[in-house]
Amino acid sequence: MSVLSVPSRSVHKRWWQAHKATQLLGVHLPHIAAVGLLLAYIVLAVLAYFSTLQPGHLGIRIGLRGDTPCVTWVMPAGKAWDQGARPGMAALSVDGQSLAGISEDALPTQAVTEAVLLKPTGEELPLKVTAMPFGQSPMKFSLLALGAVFALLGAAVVLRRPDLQAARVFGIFAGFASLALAVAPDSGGAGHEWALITQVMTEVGASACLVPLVVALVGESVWPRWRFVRPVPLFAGFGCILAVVYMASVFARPTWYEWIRPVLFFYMSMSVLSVVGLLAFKVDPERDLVLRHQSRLLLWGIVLSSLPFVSFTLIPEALGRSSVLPVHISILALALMPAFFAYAILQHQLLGIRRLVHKGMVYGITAFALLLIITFAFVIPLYDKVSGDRYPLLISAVIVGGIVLFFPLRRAAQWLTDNLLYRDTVGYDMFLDGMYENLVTSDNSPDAAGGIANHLAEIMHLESVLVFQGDAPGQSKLVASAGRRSQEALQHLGPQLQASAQNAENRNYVELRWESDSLILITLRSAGRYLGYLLLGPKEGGEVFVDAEKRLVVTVAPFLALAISKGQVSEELRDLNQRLVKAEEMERARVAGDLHDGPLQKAILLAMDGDAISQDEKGEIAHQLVSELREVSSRLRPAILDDLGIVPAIEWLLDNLPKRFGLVTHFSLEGLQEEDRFSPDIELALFRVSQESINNIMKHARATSVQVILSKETNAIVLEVRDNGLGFSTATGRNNGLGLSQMRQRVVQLNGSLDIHSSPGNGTRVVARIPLGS
Amino acid sequence: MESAPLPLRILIVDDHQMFREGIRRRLEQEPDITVVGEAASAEDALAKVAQANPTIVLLDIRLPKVSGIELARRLRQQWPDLKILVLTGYDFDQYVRAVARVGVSGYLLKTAPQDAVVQAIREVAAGGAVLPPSIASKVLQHYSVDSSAVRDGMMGDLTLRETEVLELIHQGIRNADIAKRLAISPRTVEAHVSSIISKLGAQSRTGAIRVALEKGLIK
Repeated sequence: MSVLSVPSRSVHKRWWQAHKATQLLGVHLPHIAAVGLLLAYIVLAVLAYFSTLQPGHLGIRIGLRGDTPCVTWVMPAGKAWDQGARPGMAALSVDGQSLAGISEDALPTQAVTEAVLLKPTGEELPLKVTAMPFGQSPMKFSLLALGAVFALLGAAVVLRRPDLQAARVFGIFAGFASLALAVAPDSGGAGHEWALITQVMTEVGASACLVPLVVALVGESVWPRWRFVRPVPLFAGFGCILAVVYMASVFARPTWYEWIRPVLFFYMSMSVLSVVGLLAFKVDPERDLVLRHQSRLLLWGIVLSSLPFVSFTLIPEALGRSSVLPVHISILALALMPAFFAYAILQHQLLGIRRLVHKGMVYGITAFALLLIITFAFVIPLYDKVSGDRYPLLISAVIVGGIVLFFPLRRAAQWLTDNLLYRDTVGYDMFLDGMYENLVTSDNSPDAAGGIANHLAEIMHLESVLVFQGDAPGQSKLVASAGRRSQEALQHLGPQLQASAQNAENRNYVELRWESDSLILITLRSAGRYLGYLLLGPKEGGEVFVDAEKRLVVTVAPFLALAISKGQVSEELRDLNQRLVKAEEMERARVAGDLHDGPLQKAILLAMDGDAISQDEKGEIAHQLVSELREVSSRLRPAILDDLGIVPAIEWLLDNLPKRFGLVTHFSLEGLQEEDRFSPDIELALFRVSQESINNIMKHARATSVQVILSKETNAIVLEVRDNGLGFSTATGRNNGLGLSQMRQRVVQLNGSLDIHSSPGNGTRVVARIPLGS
Repeated sequence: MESAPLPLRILIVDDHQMFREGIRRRLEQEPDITVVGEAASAEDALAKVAQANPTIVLLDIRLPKVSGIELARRLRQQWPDLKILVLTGYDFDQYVRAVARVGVSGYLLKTAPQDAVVQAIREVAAGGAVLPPSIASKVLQHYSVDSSAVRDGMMGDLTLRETEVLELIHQGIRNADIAKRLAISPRTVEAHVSSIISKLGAQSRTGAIRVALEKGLIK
């Protein structure tokens, strides 16, 4: 398993358990390593800091060759070396004192601040300690701070994942880097031998670690064999030999430095270049998404941080030229390296570390730093051009500018990182590919939701996908879940979900936090109807949702809603169908009963022979029979609707309501006459809506009055049935019964709409609006 | 010239053959009545009328496709002198009123004794109108104001809807919101408003409200 693939939180705990024995004097080894690293850094940094406070010296020693006083040793890369002094040159004066004819005893062994040498060509070479040593500049503090970052990062990583080889190598790398940076102020400026040696050794050490580190990170074997040799130890070993040879040269053979230096620089450049090569070409594009993001991040981090140093300083110097950029500037770019490592750890679980520091803190600091950089980027160029009394104005203008530019720049930076790092995050095509299956083939809502959840979990690398369905955020229940941590997510986030879902109702999405991971909650809506919501995340390995993914999810949310609602609709249809069949059967039974109880019995009486009943009685019975049959037939379909139209039909309906309900009815017409006719479909729909509404009123509303208003508008006819009854909450009672859905269906089939306005205690208004065709 | 009266020429329009035969058999017993034809549908009836030139049409309202009411209207248009006697199974007052509006000479229920039908034919032929007492009372009731379920929707001069709109205006609600609340189109609201203003003889919305308050149409 690659160390970068999704880490389990308990891995390092188990390691701690298993390595209880790995102790020294009762302390765990990783603790010792971490504390040792920090201590070494602090000691070196303090030493270097104080030695830079001492006056600098040239770094040459003087001896007698024959009678001539001459230079016996020049500290490589020291002040004198940089100004051209080499061992063997004759010395004319040292620290203002002439050396002509001086005796061996009186000879100063070391020139401190000033000397005049004689070149082999016969020219005089004056040497001087520069007035402002490098170490006394603000640069010193930058280097120390940078070193501290490396030291802290290394110590933290070693403590978090002592079980990983890569983490241990990273600890060593960070240790070397931090120590190199700790002594850098001194080795560069004052030129003490110990500092220079430490500097070179640690630089070589860091370079030597870089390759195995990246090899371990991308999950290759650290010690592969190329036929007979193992390249990585060979590389590291070569670095060690170089360092030893260099150390020897400083004291014994300063002239060796002439050729060791280019070799050293070449070595360091090669280590950086091979790491870049490894990251760029060795990472299999088919590999884990997280790994791809991590390695891409490291690649950019290493390229951006070391490119200036390698290309403008190391390579020119290896070729015997001087650095193209001032060294302190190219070195400062190295600060990007710990930043990228830290970012990769925080966002992409590099080294399998889920959390180093709280992400929010990092974001806060980064935002603040960005704001400062933006602000100062504008202050510095303007500062000289403004007269003193306008400084407050300038500063406030710059602060305002910083704030104004903050978000555009942040977005630009976000866009850039998204495009550099997350090119391969989920694409629309991938998404739609699988969605087709769920949209087209599934006709059942839980199936569709489950299919979508699985699809999303797979393509977006999510540890949890939860699909909730319901009429309102508060009433949604879980219908599908996917991902290995969905249950855990549900448990943790359950209590806050409802509030978040309500929050999300009017937005594209809301982000939720679960420990250090982020999740997004999206409202699902189809044709304006609330269907539920979708909770995505955390992503595998705690990755962040990039903007592109959020956009994708927001864009495809309607498709998801469609798929889910399609399932729901077909489920509703099935349900409706069942209820229809049942209702039809009930209606048949009722009609059969009506016919059987009244008319049939009377017809039998009439058909009987003999004098069982008198002729008068027969006449009476025949009349009753006629009126009963008329009633049955009218109830099935009122003849009056076909014969006379909608207005008389509704009137008839209201006239013939069962008396026991004691309803007072009002019927008013607006913009039409009693005898106006409409198409049979419209008339039937309007009649059934009135009939069903009035049935509902009688059944449920306990109303005392019903008002029916039929109005004709320019191109629509509107029927309104209102009562003064109990009313109901339209939010909870949307699926209230077959009658209502049939009513709606009739109106919708004619391109009309049916609205129900009601609230408890305020009666109910049913409004059907049907457009009148041209 | 013979002064013997011409026989009454009857056309029976009904979609039930049994009924047609029953009534025909009865009518043919009468010397002064000739059944000149039968029709089972409105089209059929129009053709037969044109062809047989009846004096009286016995008409059922329930007919397939075109209803008896519509047929009566067309007959009245084409042959204003033709007399129509409705013979139907329904006594709903909606039918009675609809038929009355078309202008027929009589309305009889099918359950009436056949003698009554013969009687009615003679009366209609003599220029009279026939309404059985139960039906006549329904018609009369309709013209007494409060009994029918139908109101003309008037309140004062305003319709119910207009009153409603006026009340909402009085509450300070804008037309668009009124439309939303009453589930009608904004244009309809505008139409209501201008109708209210003109009915109340006002010049503006506020004027209309003032008049309505004075008249006690709204509170």
